This record gives sequence, C-alpha cells and structure tokens, in this order.
Amino acid sequence: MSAPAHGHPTAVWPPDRQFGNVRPAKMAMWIFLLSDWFSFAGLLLGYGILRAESTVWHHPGEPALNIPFTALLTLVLAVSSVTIIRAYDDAAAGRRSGSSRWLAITAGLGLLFLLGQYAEWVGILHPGLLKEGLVFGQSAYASTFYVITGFHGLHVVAGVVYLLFTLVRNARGVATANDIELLGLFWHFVDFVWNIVFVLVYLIPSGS
Amino acid sequence: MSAETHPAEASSGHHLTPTQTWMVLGVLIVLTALEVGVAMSHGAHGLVTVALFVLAIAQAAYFALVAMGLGGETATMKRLVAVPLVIAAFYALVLCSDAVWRAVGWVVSV
Repeated sequence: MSAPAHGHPTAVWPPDRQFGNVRPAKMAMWIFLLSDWFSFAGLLLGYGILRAESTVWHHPGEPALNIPFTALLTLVLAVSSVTIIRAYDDAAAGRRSGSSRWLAITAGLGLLFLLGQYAEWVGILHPGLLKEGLVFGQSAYASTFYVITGFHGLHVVAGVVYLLFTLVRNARGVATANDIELLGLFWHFVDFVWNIVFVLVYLIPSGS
Repeated sequence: MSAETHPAEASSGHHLTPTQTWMVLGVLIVLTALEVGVAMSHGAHGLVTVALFVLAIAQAAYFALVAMGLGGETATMKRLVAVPLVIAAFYALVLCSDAVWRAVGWVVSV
C-alpha cells in the first residue's frame, strides 16, 4: 500500500481474465454510456420511422438546415475530443498545469458549440431557425429536429459542467488521471453521438 | 486482499502520442469533410444515403476504437460495448424498413 498524495487510498483490482485492467469506475461509465446510447437510439429510431413513413418530410416554407455552419460546429467538437485526450495524457504524466490548460480549452470549445447551437436555433447575427419558421410542433421535421439536437445540447451542457468541476478539482490537486479518463469517455461519447446526429438529421437528403 | 496504490499509478487508460492524437483529429476532419461533400454532391438519393450511412458507421467505429480507447481493451470488453450498439442499429434497420413499406403501401392504395 502506498500513501496517495490526497490521502484517499484506492484499491487496485487484480487483472481480470475477461476484462483485463478495466477499473470498476470505468466499467460503470461504459454501462452508463451504453444506457445513454439507448436514449439517443430511441430518439433516432423514432426520427427514422417518422421520416421513412412520411410522404412529405420537408414542408414548403420551412427553412433548410445550414450544413456548412453545422459542419464547423462538428469540427469544434472534434477538436475538443483531441484536447481532452491531451488533458488526460498530461494528467497521467503528472503535468497538472498542462492538464488544467487542456481541460479549460475543452470546456471553452464546449461553450463555443453551445453558442453555435444557440445561434442556429435563436440567431445572433442572423435570424435563427425559430424566427425563420421552423416551429416546434408544426411538423415532424421541426419537432424531431429540436428534440434530438436539444437532447444532445443538454449532454454538452452536462459535459461542460463536468469539465469545469474536474478542472477545479484538478487545479486543487484532487483529481487524478483516472478521473480525467472517465470525463474523457463521457466527452468522447457526446462527440460520438453528435457525428451520428449530424449525418442522420442534417446530411441525409430529403427525398421529397 | 488487493494492493492499494495512488490512482494515477494505477491508470488503466490508453495513451496516445501527440502525433497519434493529432492524427485522430486529421481522420475526423477528413471523414466529416467527406460526409459534407457526399451530402452536397447532388447524387442519386439512394446512393448518397447509403454512402452517408457507411461514412457515419466508419466514423463511429473509429471514434469508439481509437478516441475512446476501446481498441486497447479485451475482446470481451469490446463485445460488451459493440453488441448494444449493433442491436440498436438492427432495430433501426428493421423498423425503418417497415415504415417505408407501410408508406409505399399507403401511396399505392391511394
């Protein structure tokens, strides 16, 4: 037994024949992410069924989604996936200030994504989708768009809060590399799901 | 009784070199650019849809295996994650096909 810096000894389980060195906390995070995946899968499945059985999906007068702008938001999340990997690597190497810097950058990119989503929905410099006539409840196209991107947006909000919480704990020397690894799994999942949402909701062309 | 060490020493996470990390970003950018390019290509609707599904699956698999580190886990761990993901995709395929069938039937009956 070694004395950890923050005074909380942590048990290390012997390698398991089937699961190797996966810690219970990491396994719990994977199980949570899989259950969360089923929430998204349910929403995307409902979206797919509604879209597949509709004769007219995109009604006249409803605005088209801005693909180039959303592609930029997708890249913002992709960069944030890389910065969270750098945060973990710095934490694992004992470089606390480096990991704090990467965590702060990741949180900033998460906020930038949320700002972009706000601009898309409500509008900042230009009118958003709401003002252009994409109203929740008006059509399946509008409702599924807001529900799916909104549910994902809530995950980004949760991820940013989780990032800031871990950033504070890391700056105080309480967070470990393992904590940042769990955070990284959640943040990667948010990006993983967004890539699927981006393709299914934004990119697949309307047949009608 | 298990041994006890500092959590950082017991880290079981996968490590990527800085070069590998930026390669992850490069692959994600290329795949996203390909997806946008295919979507805006004005090709045949069915062909574009299939191409986008293939690219989305490739990107999701790359993400899970490399960025989320699943590639470095045991085969059992990979199956534990992959099976629920594939089941959801299977349900989607079956139920969306059923929805298309019903929509086609509705159009024919009208």
